[in-house]
Amino acid sequence: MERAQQGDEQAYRTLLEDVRPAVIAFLRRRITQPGELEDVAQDVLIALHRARHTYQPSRPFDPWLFGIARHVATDYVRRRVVRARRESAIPEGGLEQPILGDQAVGHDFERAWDQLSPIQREAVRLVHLEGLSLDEAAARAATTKGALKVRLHRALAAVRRVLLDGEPR
Amino acid sequence: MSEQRSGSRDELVAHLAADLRPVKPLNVVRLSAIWLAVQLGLVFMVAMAMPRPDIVQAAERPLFQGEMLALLFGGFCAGLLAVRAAVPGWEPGKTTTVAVLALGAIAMSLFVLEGMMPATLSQFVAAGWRCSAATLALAALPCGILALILRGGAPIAPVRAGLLAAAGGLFFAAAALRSTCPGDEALHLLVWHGIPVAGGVAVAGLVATRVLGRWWQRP
Repeated sequence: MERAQQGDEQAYRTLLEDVRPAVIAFLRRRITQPGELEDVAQDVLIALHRARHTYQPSRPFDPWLFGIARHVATDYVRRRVVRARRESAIPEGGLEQPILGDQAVGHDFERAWDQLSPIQREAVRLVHLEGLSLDEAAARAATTKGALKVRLHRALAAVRRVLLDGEPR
Repeated sequence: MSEQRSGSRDELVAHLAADLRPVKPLNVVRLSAIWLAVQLGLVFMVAMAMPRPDIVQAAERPLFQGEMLALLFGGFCAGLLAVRAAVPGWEPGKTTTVAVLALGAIAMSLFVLEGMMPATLSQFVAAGWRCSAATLALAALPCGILALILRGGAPIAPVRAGLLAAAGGLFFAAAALRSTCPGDEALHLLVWHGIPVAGGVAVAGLVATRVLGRWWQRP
């Protein structure tokens, strides 16, 4: 980590790849949805990147890393609970009805929509339904552009699978 | 699906590595020293510029000594711990935070032991509101410095960090006011000296998550 703080790109890449399995193992106890585990692990790597200047070379690395991982996971779970409450308050079909005219496609889309995680739904809603730019949508979702792109990519892949193959993930 | 995931994971690692720039590690000792210098300078300046007329007699009273000791020691610990809260894995625990905040509560309970002097409401307000305003004004700069340090760090316990940052500035401000305000009446001290401190710390705790919480997603 010290070498990463000095700008050593190769050391940093190695570090990110090395810590990932430990982060995943740590998060597995906190994030129960396997589909969301990877998203949160990526958020932890982003957080590690943003906090790299706070690492104290005189102090051990593990408490620093897992402190960040715990915080990101806690925040994620808290946001998921808030979103779930908010979504349960929306009348069923309220969001899809005006957009989709064809009933059959609407039904398939609803099925695909149900497969998505809350953060993937939010990404699709902001970019494809509300028409925001990636920068605007990332700011609205309180995430980075890179992470938003990953969410969109996964969400659209899942929707495509259901619409074309009729198979959930 | 796993190929897709490993693709985006590799992309992210490559993106983060490409974005890497050399950074100076957060210097906790230097930042603590800066905060403490500003904090002590401010308290010293106020205490020297406008000391209460009976400061020598007041300083001999055990109750006054206890109040000052609790506030100064509590403020000192709170400020230093707030700076530490900017570093993940080094944040103070809940017990430590409660213990430091309890020093403020001890000072407040010592206020209660001061004598009561009847006064009309208008006298009470006229003599008191300036103390509250001065406490908040005196705490603004040191609290601001601690908030900036925390914003520049990565606090993973934002509520604790916020509570300690507010306590750091407000406890010292309350001690400074205690050395300048001649009022030794329990109700005056509780309402005009105590409530701004307790209220300021509580508000900081409430807004801390919003202000300090999601630092990794800031633009």
